[in-house]
Amino acid sequence: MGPEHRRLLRALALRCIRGIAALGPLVVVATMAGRIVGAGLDRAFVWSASGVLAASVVVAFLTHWVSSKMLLGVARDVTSRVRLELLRKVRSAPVGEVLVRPRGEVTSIIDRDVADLEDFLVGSVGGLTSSAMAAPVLVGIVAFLDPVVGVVLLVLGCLTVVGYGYRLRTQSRHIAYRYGLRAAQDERVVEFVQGIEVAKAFGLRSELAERLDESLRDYKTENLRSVRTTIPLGAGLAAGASLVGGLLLAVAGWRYSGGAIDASTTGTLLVLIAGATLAFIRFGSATGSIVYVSAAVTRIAGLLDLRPAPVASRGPDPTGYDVRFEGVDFEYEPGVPVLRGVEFVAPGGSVTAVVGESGAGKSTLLHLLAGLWEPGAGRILIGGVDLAALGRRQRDDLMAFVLQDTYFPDATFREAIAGERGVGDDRIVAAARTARCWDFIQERASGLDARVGEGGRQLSGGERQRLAIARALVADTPIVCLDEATAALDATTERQIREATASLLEGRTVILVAHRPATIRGADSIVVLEDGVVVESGTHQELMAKRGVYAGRTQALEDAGRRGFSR
Amino acid sequence: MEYRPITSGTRTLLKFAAPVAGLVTGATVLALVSSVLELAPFYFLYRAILVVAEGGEGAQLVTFGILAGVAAALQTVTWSGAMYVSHVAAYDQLHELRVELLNRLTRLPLGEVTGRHSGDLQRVVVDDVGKLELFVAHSFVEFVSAAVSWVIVTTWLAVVDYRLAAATAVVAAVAYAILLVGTRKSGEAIAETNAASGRLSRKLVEFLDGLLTTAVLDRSERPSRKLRSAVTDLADANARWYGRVDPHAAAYHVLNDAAILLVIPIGGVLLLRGGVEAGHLLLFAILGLGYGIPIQRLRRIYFLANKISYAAGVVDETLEAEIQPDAPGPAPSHTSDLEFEDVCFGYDEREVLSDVSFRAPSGTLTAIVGHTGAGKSTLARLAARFWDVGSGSVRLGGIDVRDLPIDHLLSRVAFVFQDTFLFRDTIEANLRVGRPAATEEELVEAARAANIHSVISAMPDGYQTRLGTRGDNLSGGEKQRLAIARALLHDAPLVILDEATAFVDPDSEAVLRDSLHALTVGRTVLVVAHRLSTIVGADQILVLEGGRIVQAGVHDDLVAVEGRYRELWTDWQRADAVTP
Repeated sequence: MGPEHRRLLRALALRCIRGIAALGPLVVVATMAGRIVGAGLDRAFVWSASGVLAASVVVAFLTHWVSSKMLLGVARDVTSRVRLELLRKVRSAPVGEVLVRPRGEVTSIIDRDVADLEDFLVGSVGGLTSSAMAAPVLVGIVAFLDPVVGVVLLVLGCLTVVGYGYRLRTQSRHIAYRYGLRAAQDERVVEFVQGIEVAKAFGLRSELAERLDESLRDYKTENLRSVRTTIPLGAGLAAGASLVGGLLLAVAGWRYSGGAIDASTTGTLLVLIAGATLAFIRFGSATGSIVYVSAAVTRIAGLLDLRPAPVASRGPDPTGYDVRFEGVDFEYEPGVPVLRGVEFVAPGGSVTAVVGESGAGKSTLLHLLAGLWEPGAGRILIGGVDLAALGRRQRDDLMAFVLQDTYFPDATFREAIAGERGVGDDRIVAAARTARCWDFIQERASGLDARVGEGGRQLSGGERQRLAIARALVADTPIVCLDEATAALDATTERQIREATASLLEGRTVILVAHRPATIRGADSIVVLEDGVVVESGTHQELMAKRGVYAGRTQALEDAGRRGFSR
Repeated sequence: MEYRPITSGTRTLLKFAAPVAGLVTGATVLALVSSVLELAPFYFLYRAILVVAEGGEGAQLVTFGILAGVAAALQTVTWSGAMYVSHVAAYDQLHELRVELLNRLTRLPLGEVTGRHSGDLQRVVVDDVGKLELFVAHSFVEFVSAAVSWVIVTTWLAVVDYRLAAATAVVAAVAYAILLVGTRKSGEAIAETNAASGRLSRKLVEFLDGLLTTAVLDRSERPSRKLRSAVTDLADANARWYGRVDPHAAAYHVLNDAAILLVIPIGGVLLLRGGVEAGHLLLFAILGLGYGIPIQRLRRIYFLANKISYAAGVVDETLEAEIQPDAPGPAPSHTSDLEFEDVCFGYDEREVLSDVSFRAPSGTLTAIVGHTGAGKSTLARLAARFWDVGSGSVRLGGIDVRDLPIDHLLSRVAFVFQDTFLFRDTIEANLRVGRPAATEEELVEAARAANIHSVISAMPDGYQTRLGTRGDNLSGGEKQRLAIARALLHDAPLVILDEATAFVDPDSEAVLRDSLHALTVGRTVLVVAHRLSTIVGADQILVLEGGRIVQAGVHDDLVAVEGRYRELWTDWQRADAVTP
């Protein structure tokens, strides 16, 4: 809990006082019952009873209110801190480890589970503490009045605790299972929204709803099952406790008729026993909230366990800007190699094109360079220094990336281009011009301050690409890694991107995952990847002369280009 | 959404609960019995003490003790019964509501759905509907039973002694007034907390969507400033919200526990003056311990009322959104001539298409070219009523598409989209989207024609392979070929290809081209094209610019004249001179 720990304890201490103050009415009535049975009421009793009652109400109100305020502060701080910490963990963990989790799970933990924790702190923990306080105090008073009844009451209390403990275990099983179903339901809803266009196009509107219905129904069935188990269980426990409470009243009656206690004590005891029984039941049902919060906390802790990707603080400075892959192996899933013994050099200041069929592992190469994943074996050297030895800042100063489909957080154009670099508008505008995005930025009324929308929604694919290029231009790193866009673009946009790209390549070491024949031919060297293995490398002329994989594919492509939709 | 008074929320909520009114009524009756029974143990306790006071026998005492226990047990059993029934009603009704919501969503014009943040829809369907559980399962039952039992018990007490009854009731009345004020205050702040919580979920979805790119582009450990402020804003807003209701909640809670606050001094004085019997005072004192229990439950109901009522409003709004009008079936037979006449269309007040007219006769291929953002995709989607035109008309076989039943219309159109969406299911299930009743042979045949059969067969589980979370066990080109197979299975006379050559390596483009050929032969085809070389042979090329058709014709005629098409063609040749 950290810094909030003490505040929480202080608030709960107040809640203990509140729990005791809440016993005021019960104790007053119990005493009064004893008096009425015994000596009768006098003026002094009436006034002192009224005074005690009023005082208990005032104390209970004040302690309740003040402790609520404190709990509120604790909840606010804990909620923010836990969420920010979770986000930081997710952010600094190896991206691969986060992406393998179902997406809904991560958002649900950060959003709902933390909200459950907040609700517990604000709404449940206080009442739980107060009611936990009431029962033992009452047992103590009863034991003081008559030890025998006190002991029997204590036994009842212990039985109640055991019984509700059993209920907690049952509930937590249901909750864990239900949570899984809720997550499944969440994912289905997201899929539903994303798939609605396809479903609509194929006239499968009802089918799509039905697909979802299945998981909705599972959720409902499980909810009902949980109701069927936990409600009767709770009813049984409370009814059992009530019956035992009734028996206790009978025990007190038996003690009275045996002459063990006098009439006045009996009157008081009877009221207290009833109050204690209620207090036990109340405490027992209040424990239900523990199940939810502990399930939430367990999941939160699981996500907090994410370990940050290992990054050196600052390694040796590279002696040059060449990039060398040495025997690099990589697999996302064990037993399914994506890259095998990849070996090549991208000489400094020149353009190296990586080509190959889809799924050959080209984009993975870039992801390894970006440090999203670690190579399983082998190493990647930059200017002679192992990538793993380079610090985060060093990497950012060395390499810029232009990915196929860049996702922009909902930011302004200025932020999208400059990132968190403090760069003047003149440089941003210059980069935007070079990357051919100035035109569409200018079209917007607020220019650089216009927003790109979630994920860059306000932008077309071509615009997003040029924006990513502008971003790389501002970063101005000696090495640029580019995943050439394959997105369908109109011819004019494509030419603009071509020009933008060309300006980015000048004078840098470039690793280019290339798709367009013209780009490939223009590269200084070409690396051909097939099923995760480098099968050929060399210049276009060399590779064509070899008549190998590359030459064959280039030929096929030319044929395809001639064909089109023939009728 | 603005603050809604609870009353209007309650009307909406009652509407939602109406289909399970029987169960809810049953639960309410049980709860009412239980609430009245709440006082029975206290009554027997009173009787037991009277026995002692009157020097009665121990056996009587034992009887009343046991009676008190049995009454309390009955009370919990009836209460649990009420909760059981009301929860069954709630889960049934929630499920129905979710299904209805989804069905409505599929019947909205598509833009209404895709234009919304997927996180927002998830909140409506999952979370907001979930909040209604509190109403159906708790609020209604607890409120009605507490109110009615309160009236019954108070009346009974008034018959016994109206002065002491008044002393008891007045404390409850004050407490209730405080509760109402608190509820009113919390209502004013509810919009703020809801907005903050919506913002956080949207930011979280963005955060995770962009995780891969941001990890590459921006390696700082801190989440973005906006995400951070979304987190703290929500915590602050919630704290403010609770802060407003807290004193009221505390007062209500404490006062209901102390229902005897006035009974003791007033009753005591009366007793001393001989105005009341000791037994009556004892009765009121003891019953006072149980008097507040049923109304104590109202605390939660009231403070959550605003949240529930707000959620109900959101759900209702979604349910009431205007669905696309559907034409009654059956559809007359018609050809697959596609015709646009003076079509204008826009969304968000932005005109996307203006006065678009053309005719695509059955069995011909029409290509739409133009700059990104010229309205090409929108035009193609209008043909299948993804949206309805603003003015003008789209006709299939001479019939306005709005006069065709939507399901019929969609059965006549096969789509291949720019981004291929695949369901997280088996390959077979994804293929069956095209034709649910397809036989094994038909599936394989379509997969072969789309050149994807060999890829599927090479997988260990073949057609039963489950596509991963991100469809990531297939490459972009493979996914598209799967989408083509899906469209082939749909076997519709009108085929719409939207930028179907996107995201494909040139390496696999040749294969893809073959697959597409299989799909287009003998059908009316509308293709949104970018690789101009592919549509040189089209029967008709429409050049779209700024939402208008600026040129139309066949390739040879279009390149022969000065104009937009010739510019595009020149750019194209310069950008992608494939042949050396």
